[in-house]
Amino acid sequence: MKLNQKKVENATIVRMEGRLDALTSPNFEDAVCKLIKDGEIKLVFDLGDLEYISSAGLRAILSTAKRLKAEDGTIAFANITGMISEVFEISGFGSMFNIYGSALTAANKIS
Amino acid sequence: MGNNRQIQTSEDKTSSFSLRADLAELKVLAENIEKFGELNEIPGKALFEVNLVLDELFTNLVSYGCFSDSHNFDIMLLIEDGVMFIEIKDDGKPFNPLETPEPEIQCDCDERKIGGLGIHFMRKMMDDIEYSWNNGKNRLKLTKNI
Repeated sequence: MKLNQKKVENATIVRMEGRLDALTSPNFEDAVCKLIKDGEIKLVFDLGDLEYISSAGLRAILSTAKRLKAEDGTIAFANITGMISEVFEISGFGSMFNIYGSALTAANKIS
Repeated sequence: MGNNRQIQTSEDKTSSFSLRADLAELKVLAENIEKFGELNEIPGKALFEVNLVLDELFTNLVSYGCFSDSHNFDIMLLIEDGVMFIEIKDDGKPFNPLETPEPEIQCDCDERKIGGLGIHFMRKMMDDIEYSWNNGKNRLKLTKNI
């Protein structure tokens, strides 16, 4: 799992690359936790290069969302396509979060 | 330019492998499924679903089903006439996934829990599921139409 971040206006875009499963999600959670501690509380997760996600990955995303909410932050998603989109739909995550077509649009919206 | 593709043999139509009860084995699982998919020209969507369901079952075993560190998770894949048969045997705690309740998925972020989602994926993504317990092992037979 690789994470690349970029600041756009007041938001931080986190582009996720690779696989988010029970093996990789602890690292993901640590990295995002650090971002939040550093004051980045408007986060856009760009899933365009995410190849795979399991329920352990969804769990990590949910705990990130709860953490952000506790800090009065905002979470949004962009580029959810293909099988990642199917997993979001089947799990009910698709209707739980704000999802945008592009990361820049998402960043503008939540800034 | 020669065509390097191997002629498919009946050996390609089955694959058996065993995973140790360690989450690092998720990589081995993904590699084996990918290889099997390539040899048998299985579409990416079906392959993703098979990988996901086996990942969820394996992760369940590693997280909740172990008595000790030395459990094995044995997987057998077989494809025949566009149908994939998957058999999983493990020597962890007895666990019948068909007895788990459906998770609540229509609620907002605050109330949302993740438990049961892996089994929910299995029910949605597989066409048939049979569970049995014998000789001290959980045995699950899954069928997936490709």
